[in-house]
Amino acid sequence: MITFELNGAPVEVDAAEDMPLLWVLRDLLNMTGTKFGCGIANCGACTVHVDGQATRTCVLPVGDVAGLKVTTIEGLQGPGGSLHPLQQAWLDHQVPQCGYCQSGMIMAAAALVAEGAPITDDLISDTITNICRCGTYPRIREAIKDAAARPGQEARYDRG
Amino acid sequence: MTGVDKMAPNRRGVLIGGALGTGGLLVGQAIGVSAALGAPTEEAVNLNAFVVILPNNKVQVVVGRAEMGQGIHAAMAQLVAEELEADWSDVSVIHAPADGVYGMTSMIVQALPFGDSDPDGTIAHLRRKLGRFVGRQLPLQMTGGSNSIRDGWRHMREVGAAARHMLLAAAATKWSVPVDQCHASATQIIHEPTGRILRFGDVAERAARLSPPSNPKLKRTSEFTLVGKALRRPDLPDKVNGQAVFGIDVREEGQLFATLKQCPIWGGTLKSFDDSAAKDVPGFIKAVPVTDGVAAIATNTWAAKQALDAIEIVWDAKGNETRNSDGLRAEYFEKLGAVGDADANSHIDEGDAADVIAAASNTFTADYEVPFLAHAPMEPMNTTALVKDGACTVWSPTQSQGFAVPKIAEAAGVEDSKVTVHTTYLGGGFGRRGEIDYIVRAVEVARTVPGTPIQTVWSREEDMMRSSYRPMMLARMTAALGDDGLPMAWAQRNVGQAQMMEFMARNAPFAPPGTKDGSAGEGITHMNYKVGALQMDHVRTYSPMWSGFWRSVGHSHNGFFKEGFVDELAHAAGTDPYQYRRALLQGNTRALAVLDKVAQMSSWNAPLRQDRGRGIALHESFGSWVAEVAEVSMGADGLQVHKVWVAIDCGHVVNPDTVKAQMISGVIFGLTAALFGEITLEVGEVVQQNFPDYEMVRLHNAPAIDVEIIASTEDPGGVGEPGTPPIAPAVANALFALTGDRIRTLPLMNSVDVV
Repeated sequence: MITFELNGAPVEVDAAEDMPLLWVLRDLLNMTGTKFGCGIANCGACTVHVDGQATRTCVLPVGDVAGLKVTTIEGLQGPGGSLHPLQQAWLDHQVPQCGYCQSGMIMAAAALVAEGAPITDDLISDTITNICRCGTYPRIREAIKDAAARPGQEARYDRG
Repeated sequence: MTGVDKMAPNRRGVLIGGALGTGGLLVGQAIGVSAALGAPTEEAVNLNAFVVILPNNKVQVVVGRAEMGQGIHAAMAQLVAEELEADWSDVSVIHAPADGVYGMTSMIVQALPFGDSDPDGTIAHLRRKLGRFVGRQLPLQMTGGSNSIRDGWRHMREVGAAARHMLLAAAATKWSVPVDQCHASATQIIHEPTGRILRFGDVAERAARLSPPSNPKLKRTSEFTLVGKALRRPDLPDKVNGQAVFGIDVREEGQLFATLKQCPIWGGTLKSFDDSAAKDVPGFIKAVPVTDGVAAIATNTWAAKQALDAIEIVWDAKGNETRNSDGLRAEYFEKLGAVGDADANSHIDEGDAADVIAAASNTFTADYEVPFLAHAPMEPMNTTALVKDGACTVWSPTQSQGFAVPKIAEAAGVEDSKVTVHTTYLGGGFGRRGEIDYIVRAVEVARTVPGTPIQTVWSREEDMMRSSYRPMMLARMTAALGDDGLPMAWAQRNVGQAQMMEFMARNAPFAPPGTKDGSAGEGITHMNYKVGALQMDHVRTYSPMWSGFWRSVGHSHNGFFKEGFVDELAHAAGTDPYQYRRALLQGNTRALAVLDKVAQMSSWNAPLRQDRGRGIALHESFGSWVAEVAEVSMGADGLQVHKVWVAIDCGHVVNPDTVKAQMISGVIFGLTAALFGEITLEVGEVVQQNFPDYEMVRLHNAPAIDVEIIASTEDPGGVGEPGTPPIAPAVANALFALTGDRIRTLPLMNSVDVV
């Protein structure tokens, strides 16, 4: 049995140590927000936070997160379902198209923003290498810069 | 579990009464429901096949088009809600079941006579009614061809208007007042003289028992309050919090998982397999043969993959593809110049181009080529299937519900009427999910464990090596030039596989095959430019390797060929490429407008930095005109595309934000292909297996993109695909302007370093 903290609560899974965390999340825990895109940690769709660090999970053995804090896209929201500023910015800029890559993209962006360094285009380019096949990149940039400028706000989706 | 299948209503929709006419009858047909949703909470009322009212006064619009990022769920709902008079905040969208009433019936209507009658008059109404009746009998429920708005533009407003009439009539009866004293607004009905209000939900059951009006009057476009607005997509909140259910996210009670390998050599089949080593993998259940391959079934996807890797498979290579890409190229090159090829089909021959060219003193010829391309959507192919009690249910991210039903039935060994298709969100489609193979494979697997839902997921490698590729295409173009440098004749030959004929043969075998490929000449036969005599033919080639629909189809290669060649003619004439194109457009107002707009947006006439190059391209496809300008540089690290400007005329716009998003999307998709995209073959096997072999544009090399939409009251054109054809030539033309090197072959990375 392998125990770790998932989105703030302890979880215990009956899995082989070498089973990738991605499949533990998706198939053993039915947490399907984290996605499968390539299986070789190249596309970033499987990104979560492990102890606050953006981490690709498709090749990460679940044994490696024993005792650590894992945050998935499902756990990014604040208490009472309040949106993370990035999620709010993603909606304000209508970033997603098909949406499949966006869990990993948002998690990668959230880790970057949490580091607290000034957000520049170069920093975004160098840090976030996730693939978006729909090409939402320009709006991703706008949303990250926007969110970084207003951390910690409560949010509400206004369809307007 | 919570969050799963949010697309479906909370319980089976109860059909009360009927709605023959604009909406169609859904007798006993539940609107897609997942068993995982749990206990029903509300009674949903279907006013017709497209409009569902809940007692809490929420409105569900039933959309029969796959949501793959193009925002079609939002746009179709806007059209319905406009005439229905529902408040946008009350509207959500659910995906339709597989049913003929959701077919793309406009193509049938278009084929009927009296197409020029007044669109609001009786003849046009009867024409639509007949076309839709015929269309319902055919498997036309599909999403593709950038056709959803063109098909739904009038139809969705009619179904919304019909539902509104029924609600008004029900309210008027309830109040015992004349219906013309009532009007609908913001999901309510108001009786003007007394100010009394009823909510849609209060009268929906009564309304559903009424007959809908047969030809409801529609608003003038100047009266639109929702259509034309950049309303926020209702599906996006679930796409930023991990709740949206894609095909690969389906989790049914007792579900098992499988993955598969099909013969990597195209055309080969399965001979035998040995799964004795797989039995050691914890969670492995069994291995089963599927068409041309083997699937491993297990309790989770990872175990299935481990088990599959442990299975020894023997392939039968008889009849398979044996060629390499280089060999194919050489064969195609021969055919470019061959005379009397039995597989050559003429697509246009006006004005004796051959004679004009033979007599001309100044001619110009160029050969262009583009490679095979895979779709590589972020969500790999998958489908969940359940075969039970003579019925088959699938949950699939599919673009082709209509084509799928009979193939599912055949694979499951059940009647068509016993097939249920739940369409999930798609993690990208691009035409790949118009094929049925990944659905049929899943049904083949599920049939071996009846009563148990099984999700069959393809690895990225399987997805990339078994796509329905944009075919490799070679082209030779020859122009005869007048003293002014403008063309007097244009002759073109394309050589490559027939992607539309192959797609239709695989997926719509009942349709007459025809003798030539409908997509081979697209973008050339109606090229907007006045080039004098125009002749084009296509020599069809064959391979067991599938060619099929890839975003913009024939336009994806013909756009590059045409806009590169025209650019070469411009430079040969010593004329600015923007002005040269203007001269060829002579009075073509819509084409000129987008071209002029993009020139203005990009400050085309202003001097450019020394280290930058600018290229322009114009292409009409799927009913829309798009012009693009790309600005590039060649630094130490190679080619970089800094900025792209896009101007589009797509006629009436339903949601300008989704149009802009689709232009950005089409550009990035086409740019990725232009810079890096290449699928090659070695002894019949696709070489590229995963993203490192098939590079993608990412944040670091994605250009800034400006989009402007030409205001128009013309009938809508499509937007899903038209952004793609111009970008490759715009970039290649920009590179020429910068370096003087003309590149006629894609991807560009084979000719220059690319950032």
